[in-house]
Amino acid sequence: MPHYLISVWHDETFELDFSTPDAQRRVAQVDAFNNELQQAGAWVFAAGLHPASSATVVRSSGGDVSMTDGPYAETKEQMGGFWVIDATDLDAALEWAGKAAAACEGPVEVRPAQG
Amino acid sequence: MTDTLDEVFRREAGRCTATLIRVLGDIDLAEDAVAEAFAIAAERWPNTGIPPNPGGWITTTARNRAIDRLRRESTRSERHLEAHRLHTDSMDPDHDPELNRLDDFVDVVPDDQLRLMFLCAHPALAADAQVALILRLLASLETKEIAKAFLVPEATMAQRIVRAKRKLHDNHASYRIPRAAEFPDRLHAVLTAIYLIYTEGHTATSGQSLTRTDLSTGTRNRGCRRNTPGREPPSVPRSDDRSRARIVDALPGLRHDPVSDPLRELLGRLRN
Repeated sequence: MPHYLISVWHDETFELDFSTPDAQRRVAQVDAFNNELQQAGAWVFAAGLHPASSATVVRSSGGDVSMTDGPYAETKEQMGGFWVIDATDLDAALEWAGKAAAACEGPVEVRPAQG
Repeated sequence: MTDTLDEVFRREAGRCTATLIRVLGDIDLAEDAVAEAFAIAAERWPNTGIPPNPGGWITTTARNRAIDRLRRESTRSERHLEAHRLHTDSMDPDHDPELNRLDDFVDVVPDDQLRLMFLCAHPALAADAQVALILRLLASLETKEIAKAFLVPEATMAQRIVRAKRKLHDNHASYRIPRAAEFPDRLHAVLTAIYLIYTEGHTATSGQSLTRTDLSTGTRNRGCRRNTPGREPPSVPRSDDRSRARIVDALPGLRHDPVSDPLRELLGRLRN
């Protein structure tokens, strides 16, 4: 079955304060969604990420490896987390993505994996 | 035989392509195979005459060409399997492509077109790309003609179509009739495309004639065939005093399709 990446995007300054009821509600929703994915056999992997300010960019050129403070793309929106799912086709993936967007209360992006 | 190859192309190319996309599961492969089948027809028909069921002939020839091509190009076992599947797939019931016995199979063709229309209208595609794909694959309009309808350069439109096809392919978009709940998102593109096909027939952007009755009557005839009294007149422009095109009935395949009622109802609402 094809794999799809469902990524969560928000403002670079966004940071979830887990002590707030708002955050706890989202966490509970995402947990429920993860369970649903696992029970349906669609789960491959998922993770929430630390803020983009924690990123490091690594480059390799002619055997030399260099590092710079990240993130790589200097954009306002950054990836905050992702799922990798197994789905039969685009429509199935989009249906899961709809539930993902509802669970984390924000837009998600769906991209098919190659191969 | 009054048909010319050109008329057969205008009438059958969209239908054949829709069927081949279902059978092959690949838009580019289907388009190439249908083009190749028409090239073979152009070579043979002047000598043999046009066969009694030209659409069936084209479809079968295109399928056989596609199988040959998959075999020829298969370096991966996946491709071999695909070719095997196609060969044994019951596109014609007795696995014997006797052309005049394809009538049963022709019955499913309208559903293929409807399915393809709604695949092209997938909401994951940009609105203009949805319509462009329908015009290209189902109305067999040339990229130049589609570009004209959108007032963009031909190269821009060509790129848009390639990207849309690639997106559907890379995303493993399924070739199926959408569920009732999915219709509203997709209807607009389908109706816009039908309108543009009609417009192209009304004032042709290329060719020697200003009008292209093959397009306008194609849209209109589908309507007239099931024209029932007491219906509201449609919102498609009139180019002919005798009859009016009917958007609702211009969509092929509704008659046999179990999900046609919600669609018909939506179309009706949209028109009022």
